[in-house]
Amino acid sequence: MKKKRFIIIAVAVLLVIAAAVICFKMFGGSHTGIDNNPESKLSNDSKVLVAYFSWSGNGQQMARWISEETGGDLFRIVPAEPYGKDFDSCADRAKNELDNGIRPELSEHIEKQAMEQYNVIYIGFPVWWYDLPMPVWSFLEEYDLSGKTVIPFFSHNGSSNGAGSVSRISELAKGAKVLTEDALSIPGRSVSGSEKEVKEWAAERLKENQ
Amino acid sequence: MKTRQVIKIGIDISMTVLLFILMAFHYVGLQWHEVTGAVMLILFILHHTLNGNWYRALGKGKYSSGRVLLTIVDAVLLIDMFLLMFSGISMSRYVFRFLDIPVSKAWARGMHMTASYAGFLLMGFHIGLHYGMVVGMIKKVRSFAKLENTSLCKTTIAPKKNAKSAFFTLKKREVPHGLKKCKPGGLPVCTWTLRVLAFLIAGYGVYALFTRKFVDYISQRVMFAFFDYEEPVLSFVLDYAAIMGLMIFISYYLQRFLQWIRKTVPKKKENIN
Repeated sequence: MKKKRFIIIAVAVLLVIAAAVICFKMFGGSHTGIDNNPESKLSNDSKVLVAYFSWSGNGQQMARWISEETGGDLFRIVPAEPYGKDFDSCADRAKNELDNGIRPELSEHIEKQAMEQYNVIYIGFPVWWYDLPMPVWSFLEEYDLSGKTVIPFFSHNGSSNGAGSVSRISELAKGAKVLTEDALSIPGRSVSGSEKEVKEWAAERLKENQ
Repeated sequence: MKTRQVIKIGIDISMTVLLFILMAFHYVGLQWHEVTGAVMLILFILHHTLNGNWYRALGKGKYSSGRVLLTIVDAVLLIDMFLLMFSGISMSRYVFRFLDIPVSKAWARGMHMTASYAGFLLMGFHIGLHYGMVVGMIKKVRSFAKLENTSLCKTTIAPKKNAKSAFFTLKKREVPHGLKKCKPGGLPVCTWTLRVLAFLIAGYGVYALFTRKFVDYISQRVMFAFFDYEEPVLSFVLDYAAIMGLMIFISYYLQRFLQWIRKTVPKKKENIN
């Protein structure tokens, strides 16, 4: 083969790859994590708990709306070791934990007696690697939820049916009635404009499960 | 056709079918996606073993512009496939779980998305360029369907009276028209219909390329692929088929164009001399 042709081909291939790499750098989307501060508004007389785990702030926003609408107690699931602001390192850690079944330690807890008072537990989270984020595994395994109604709500970036997350909740919340068919699913980018939808959903679920 | 040929084509068709199943990730689920990917890996190895000649021929022979294009596309596709497989395997939770590849999963996720959508387009090009030759062969075989052989292109003429051929020309004869479309080598109706059809599919493919956000995913301007679980499978498959059709259309006619240039340009060079 003539050397000239070989050079043309090699250069062309490299150009294609370089173009691709430049595209990523220019266009790459990004997400940033919010703080890791606790949020625990527990009263003695509510039968409803709104527990949530949130990295981007979407889950937190939805939980706050649901708490407003239903009057339920608000509780943030806080990992002792924060996932940080960087998306990539968060995603890497999440995948590692999921693949190895690592349940991260939580820094916030609800007392056993306090937990007994709740009949309905809304549980909010982002879908991570087509499954439930590991801190929520830690939460569900920590308490005895038998006899309670667990209602999932989640944000996603494509897995609109929750992928494996909702069935994971059924698996972990032993003895609880998990509303797998009525879970709230909202794309991450749409959460900020979804207040009405979230509140209506929460009110309906509460009505059905009083 | 030899058995080897049949097996090769069988593998190629299987790979194309599997490609669609792989792209239809959300219908199939994570586990089946991984299994399908693993099967694809096996077929990929077989495909390369059976087509080893391509590698051996790389150093030999003339490199026409068409061959340069083919080699570039194949090289980029090969790199894409390696990246696709590597990133997929590193994220595997079922089939390749035992392989703990120490690579950033966040990187792998993005790479896998880019390589799958880019790979789908490159695959269309790959099919168009390699199977373009097959289309040429089919056209020759189908000469029986040529227009000039049909009754549309023939008129009957009265028998000629001729001393020599008194016996043989008593019957009416059928003779080709002088019409252009009926000249030998004129295009069969079949080919024209197929061409229009291909053009329509390619046109729709352009539309589908945009609505399916291929460029967004390849550039990672959009970080996550959108899965519509409500969408009927057929609608999904048809859109992707049209996009593949578009790639095949472009590559096939690009190759023909390059061939045409090769045939006409040297004549001009001669004129200059």
